[in-house]
Amino acid sequence: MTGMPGRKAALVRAGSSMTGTALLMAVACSAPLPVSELTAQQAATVAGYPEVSLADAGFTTSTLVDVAALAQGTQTDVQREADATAASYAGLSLPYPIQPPPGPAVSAPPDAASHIDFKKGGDSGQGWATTTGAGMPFLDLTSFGQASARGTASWTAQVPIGPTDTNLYVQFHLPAAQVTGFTEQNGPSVWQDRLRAELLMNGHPVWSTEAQRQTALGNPLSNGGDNCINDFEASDNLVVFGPSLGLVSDPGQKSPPKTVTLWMGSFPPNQTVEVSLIVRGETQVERLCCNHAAGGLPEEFCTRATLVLDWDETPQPVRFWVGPSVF
Amino acid sequence: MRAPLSRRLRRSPSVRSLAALVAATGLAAPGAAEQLNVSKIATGTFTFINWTVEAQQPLANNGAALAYFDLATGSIDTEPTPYFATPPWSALFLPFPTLPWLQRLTPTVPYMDGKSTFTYANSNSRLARVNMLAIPTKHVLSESFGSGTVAAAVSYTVRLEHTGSEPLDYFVDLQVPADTRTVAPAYDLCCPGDPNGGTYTYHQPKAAQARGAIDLYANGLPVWTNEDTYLYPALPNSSPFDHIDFLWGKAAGPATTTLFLGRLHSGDTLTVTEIVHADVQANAPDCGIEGPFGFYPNFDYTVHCLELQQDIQMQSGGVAQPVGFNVYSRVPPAVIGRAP
Repeated sequence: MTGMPGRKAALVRAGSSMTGTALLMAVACSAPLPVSELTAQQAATVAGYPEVSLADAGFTTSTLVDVAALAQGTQTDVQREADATAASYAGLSLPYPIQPPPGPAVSAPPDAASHIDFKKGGDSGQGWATTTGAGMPFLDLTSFGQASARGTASWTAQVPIGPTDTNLYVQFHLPAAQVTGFTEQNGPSVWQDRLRAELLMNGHPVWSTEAQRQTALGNPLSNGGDNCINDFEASDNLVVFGPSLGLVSDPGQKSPPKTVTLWMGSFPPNQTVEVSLIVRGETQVERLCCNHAAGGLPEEFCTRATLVLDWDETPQPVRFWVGPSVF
Repeated sequence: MRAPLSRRLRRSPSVRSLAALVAATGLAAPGAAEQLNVSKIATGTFTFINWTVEAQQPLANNGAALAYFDLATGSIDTEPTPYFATPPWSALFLPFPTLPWLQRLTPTVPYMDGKSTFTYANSNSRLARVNMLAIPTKHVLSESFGSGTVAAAVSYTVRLEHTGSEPLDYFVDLQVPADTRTVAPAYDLCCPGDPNGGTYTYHQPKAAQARGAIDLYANGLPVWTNEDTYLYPALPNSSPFDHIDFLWGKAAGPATTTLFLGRLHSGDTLTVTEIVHADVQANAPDCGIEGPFGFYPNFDYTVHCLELQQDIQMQSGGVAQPVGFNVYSRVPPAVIGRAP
């Protein structure tokens, strides 16, 4: 028993055998999911079908921002609207005057000066979440030091299916996204972000994408409680589940804006289909900021985690059509 | 309360024992029973309750009209579309929850090379399973052996309308699922008859990721979340056992968490949805072999590829309740004794 004939050939065939000659087994109590992303040509055809207005679909919007920061506790803001913009804001930091004072982003993205200056705010979390009355989501979340920020922008519609044409089509728009952060060498910490967008039918995700980014530090000796020793970012890791938004390994790069048109299947006549989009983001930094004396004055050094879904004014970001089959 | 960020590049020393090949990992310490007041998120208004007093209040079983919708989906990358259960495709809410069951798989197929037979150690190269019929533990499971992308998900939605004339306090008991991940690198095992038990040589995947995600929503906003993501770092000097874990939200179970959703008045509506995802995706074409077994020239070999499995184990929410949670209401303390 010493020979190992064809070992390398066997390894090659190990891969090809599973993918090339596999048999698929179906189970009787399941069926192909009748949801698929349309091509641009199919979407153009669908755009000529009878459209269901947002008002006729009982369109509602909702937003949530929830932040936590070391020694500052937590803060939560929630808003829900019918056929109007919902916008939430929450922020926690060391007390200092922010000008202009930050508040919900109702008609424009927040002013750059409304963002917390970590040199003054220290361990802090801040977030904006907006869903416009037309259904455009916006998120702006940042954590400095030992803090987290969560934001959700969502909408829900009740789309009526007619008595004859029973195919439902949904179009939604996701703005450009950035899932990023910065590891401060004088206040190093791991940080992580996640962004998930899900299109739901009656609460079930039929289209879902998620991107997570996390860093690892390079100095294993810095795992203890003192995080103010010099450390460095050893790796920056991006994980994507579902269809990619186009985020890449470079954390400085934004994904392009994306318009998705879905065929949601053919429903029994006269049903009402609940369609929702939930876009969620979260940023976390593990360790607190470091307060170093710089020029005789104390100064904060903080690692940052940031997630932004751009403010986007593309018209009609959400549309519904009920019509014949496009296939 | 946020979860600790315990995600760091983890290196495991090379090991030469069979026991090390299968590393079944409970992803987090089981969470303790917890009570959360999420009324501000669920209803927009924070309502204070005294949990001790509230627990002594009578249950109110007739104050709401309830409707249910559930759906399971599963996909494997050797099929052109995902599948769903239970057909037919419909958006109709039912007066009771159901127990969807779905399985998609690609079996492995033994092959010959000369007179040698090569058999895969796993009977499937991909497996997506949602089994809400199982007793007592239900499973949302994705598994790959070698390369593959597999996704499984289940959702349970309860839509309730408070119909009573008096307000009621609404709660959810969330049966927090357990979440188990198995990662076993591909390996060669030479000479298993050796006195030392044979020699293992492990293979690195090109890429491997997995995720278990459990989310509870109230009226479209998240009120409870748990997510645990695995990443094989694929650095130039990575060991096959290296991994990076991303943790989000609350700890996985088994545990029970009670959420106070808020006080509803006549005509108020509330929709509660639980969504569970289990995903694996691997680019791991490099498998190993164990053997030879038998006698020349008819050798037998066993093929060991990267095994990646994400298994979320759910519990029944109770009789006539969705899997994973149950919704109920109590008479608010201030309402007791009020004249009709």
